[in-house]
Amino acid sequence: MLEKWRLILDKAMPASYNMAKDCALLACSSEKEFLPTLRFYSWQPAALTIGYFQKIEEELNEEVCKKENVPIIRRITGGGAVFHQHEITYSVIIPLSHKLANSKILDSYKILSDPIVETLKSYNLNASFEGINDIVVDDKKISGNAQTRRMGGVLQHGTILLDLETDKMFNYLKVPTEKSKVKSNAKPASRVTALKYLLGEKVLSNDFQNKFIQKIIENWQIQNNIKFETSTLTEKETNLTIEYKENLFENINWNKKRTIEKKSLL
Amino acid sequence: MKNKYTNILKKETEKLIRISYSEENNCISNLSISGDFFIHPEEAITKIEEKLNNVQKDTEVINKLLIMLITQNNYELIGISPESITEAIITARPV
Repeated sequence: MLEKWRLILDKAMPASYNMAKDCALLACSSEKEFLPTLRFYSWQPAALTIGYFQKIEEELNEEVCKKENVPIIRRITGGGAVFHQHEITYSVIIPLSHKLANSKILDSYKILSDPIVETLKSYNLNASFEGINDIVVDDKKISGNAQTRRMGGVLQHGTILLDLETDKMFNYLKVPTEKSKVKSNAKPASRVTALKYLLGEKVLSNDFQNKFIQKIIENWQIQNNIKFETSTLTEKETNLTIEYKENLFENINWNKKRTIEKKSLL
Repeated sequence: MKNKYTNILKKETEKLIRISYSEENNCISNLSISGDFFIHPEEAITKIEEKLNNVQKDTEVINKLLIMLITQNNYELIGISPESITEAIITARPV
């Protein structure tokens, strides 16, 4: 018998909504009726997120972001600052008791990222999981992934880059020289790639992206012996999404100082 | 008199660590640790920063305290280690 999972296919939404929805799903993940969930989404408008342990003033050129109306949101997951524009974003939410969560955190990154690696390979790309939380193609990063374990569940979300506007991206991000010193290539832009550079302009079409997502879904089902049912949020998850959006991800104290005014939220 | 110190440390197999603190009479205060690493649970970072306040700026003292704190509370550190936090603090430069 195949295990039943929920699939959520979302349209492009603002950063605060995207992060709030992941958070709401995580908050409900330990409930009896919760189905393990795979979600795909994108970002409108383009936005920047920073990791839980980062500081906006250290990672981003705030003035430039402000001038260009690019929202800045702190994630509940660790990892680095990300400019979300041309990408496919996924999240997977499972209860802590689930067999896929029942492994070392470091191992579970690889397990939960593997359907993406396999999907990239199916396009004849030299893809592999590398280091702690990255997927690379020909040694260049194409996907970053971040995980948190709280509220009785596991949330892993990550991106697959479709295209790169490096000038724009590195105008927003402050990349310290220390990061370049230990890498083989000096310029940060040369360490990152996107599907457009590997497969051509077609990756920017909705048709390609839908097919790519379908391949990830198929690989998820095959690798984990599960069956997806497309669905939406429960009423509780919908209400929690609004709560997280308004009280956490649109709260300047959370985004700037990691302060949670309503302690029950996390 | 309090002196402010900062540092950015990136080890080859780890994530980037940013450190800032004040120092008076060889004691650390107002310590801040940030970066693109992972700590589970995430709130442990506040406990780590608090525990290192008013601690002697000494490699052995800091490293021992960190290992004890992490072991006792089952904190899981990914892309960061007690050794790299200690090194980042000790090798920090005055602002």
